[in-house]
Amino acid sequence: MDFLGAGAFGDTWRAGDTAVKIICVDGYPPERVGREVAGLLRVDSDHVVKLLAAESVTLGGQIRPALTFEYIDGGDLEARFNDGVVPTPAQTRDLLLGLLRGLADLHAADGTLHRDIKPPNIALRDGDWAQPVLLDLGLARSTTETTVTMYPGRLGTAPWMAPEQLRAQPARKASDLFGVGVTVRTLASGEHPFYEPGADYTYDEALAQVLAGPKPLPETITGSVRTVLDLLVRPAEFERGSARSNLRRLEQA
Amino acid sequence: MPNDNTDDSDLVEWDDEPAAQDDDDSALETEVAGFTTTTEVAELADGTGHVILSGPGAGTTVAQAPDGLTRAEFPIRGRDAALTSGSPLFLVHFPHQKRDLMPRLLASVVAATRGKVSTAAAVALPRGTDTALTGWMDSCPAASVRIADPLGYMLDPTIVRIPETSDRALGWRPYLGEDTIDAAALVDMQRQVGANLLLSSGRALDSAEPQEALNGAFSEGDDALAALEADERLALNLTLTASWLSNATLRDKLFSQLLDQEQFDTWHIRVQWQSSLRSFHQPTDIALLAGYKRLAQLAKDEGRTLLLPQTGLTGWLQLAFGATGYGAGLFGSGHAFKEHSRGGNGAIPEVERYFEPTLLHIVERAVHDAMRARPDYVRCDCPYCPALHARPDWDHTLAHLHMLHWVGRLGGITSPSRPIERAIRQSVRDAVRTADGEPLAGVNVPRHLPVWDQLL
Repeated sequence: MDFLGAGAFGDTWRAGDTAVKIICVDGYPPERVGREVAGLLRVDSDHVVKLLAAESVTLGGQIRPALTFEYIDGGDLEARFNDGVVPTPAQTRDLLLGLLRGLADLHAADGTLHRDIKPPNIALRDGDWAQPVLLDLGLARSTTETTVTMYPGRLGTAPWMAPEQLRAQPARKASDLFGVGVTVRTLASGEHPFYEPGADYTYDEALAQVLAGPKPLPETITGSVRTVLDLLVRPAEFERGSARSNLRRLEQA
Repeated sequence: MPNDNTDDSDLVEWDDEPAAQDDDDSALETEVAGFTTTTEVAELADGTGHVILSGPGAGTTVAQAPDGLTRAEFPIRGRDAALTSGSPLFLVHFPHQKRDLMPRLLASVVAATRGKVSTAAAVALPRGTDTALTGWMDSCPAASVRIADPLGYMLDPTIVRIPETSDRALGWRPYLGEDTIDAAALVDMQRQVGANLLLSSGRALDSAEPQEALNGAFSEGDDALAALEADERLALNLTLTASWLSNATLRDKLFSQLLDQEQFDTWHIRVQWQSSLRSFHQPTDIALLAGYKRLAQLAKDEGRTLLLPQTGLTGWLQLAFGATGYGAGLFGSGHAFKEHSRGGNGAIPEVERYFEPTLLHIVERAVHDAMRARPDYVRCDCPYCPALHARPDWDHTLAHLHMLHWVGRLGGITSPSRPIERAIRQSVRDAVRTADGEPLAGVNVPRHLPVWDQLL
């Protein structure tokens, strides 16, 4: 077993062709696990990591939920961002299309939400920008981060939160769309659209940054990709549209 | 002719007790038919017969189209095509009087638009017995869609301003006296009267408790969805105060959550307008109209079907932005869901008025007569104007039928090179120019046109 990483609620290990996430937080509601698992089992998408099994393991005398997912070999977007890799406009379009397809499939599965879309939670299958896969979904509903900070080398959760999440309101499908918009804009431009590297923002300050609007996209991003990337980071949830309507905008162009 | 409606008092239009049919209805129907020469039929989508679109018997069906009749090149659309083809759907609301005149009216809209506009027959469950409602819907074969609205908002007099529910309505629909509504039972009542588009209850959403109200509406909608049988369709039915569209915070909340609830592919949304709005006039509140516009755009962007009952020409305008359906009726209440006002005594003689299609507005008869006297005036070719203008005295019913025909017919002003948004924009701008060239004053001024022009 190889250690893959630590998340807000547990650790993830690689075991052969699978990734096993063990929920290590005491008191993590079992009914939440059950509900999320039920939703995830209904998702059938090339762009959403496949849940293979939901079991439990005993660690230190305590029973912990253990979720087994397919392992996506190809690295995640966080690593590419940290390496200074910027996708071409065509790769940006491919990435956006793939993520929206994944979201459309996820949201269609009984309204399942991801709630934590950010570069470290998106892998590229075989390193292909056209094959992004949403990872670690449906479990992280909140963050322990008290400020919004773009730490060098660690992208956290708060910088990817939609305005409604910054206001501590419930996440909805539109919150996932905001996460996709911020993530793709960050990769495409090499910088976060709302926050400066290393700066600390209170949640109120972060909200003000978001409401002030994003930094402009590179001029090489044009047409429907630019339109959709601008829509996805709108402060009003409904103005972001659904994954399906944004897919239509991209595919009809 | 009796004055069967008041001018600015809508009291009679709130009536939930259908009046006995007037003998004049059949005489009027015969009189109108006498002015038509061509009999045209259109095939029903399911192939079970033909609807007579014009001439004697218009609005009724025949199993076999008799030889010699003109066969329309279009069929009467089925329910699903009417809701999803992208063509306008004109909802005609069950009138408390003169209901036998409606089948021809529905057929006339389909005929005049060459099938570009489909029609719906919309009844309200608390407005009649099962027999009366079923009978009326059955008598409207030109209607692709049949709606039996539960009017759940009648349980919410503290949210919307409505008259007290009558004992008769309570007797017909006991759910109006209960605290909670059984969604499955309500769906079944709609089935019983022959509806083919089922609605959730339509309880009014309390803007003081917006999240709770939305949760309740979606939960009821989910319960109604769960009660559907194969091939049935449901529209999420919401009743809103105007603030839900005019207030940015409420609007954002409503729209965000409508977007989130992907299980509802059809929205049937009724918004209450202020009581001071005159009968057959349009609201001019730019915030309200902008809210309607954004709602229609959202529906279009997201591929949902938006139906706007009781909106008249204001609903027609929303076709430009993405609405699918708009509703009107023979009387003022069909054109507007207004706050109930306790003023008026219901006995004010109705003013003689005429809907001028070129002005997109209803004007006093004297104004109409002056316009009509001009040599360049284009005379109306609707089925009702020949009879209206042949009479020595003014017939309000014929004038209402003319208006209702036109509100529906305007939905069909498109052409292959002129989609609905462009067609409506052009129509409104033409009306602005016409109004500018007329010496109009007072209630004859179409004050809504500059506001519409701004939105377009």
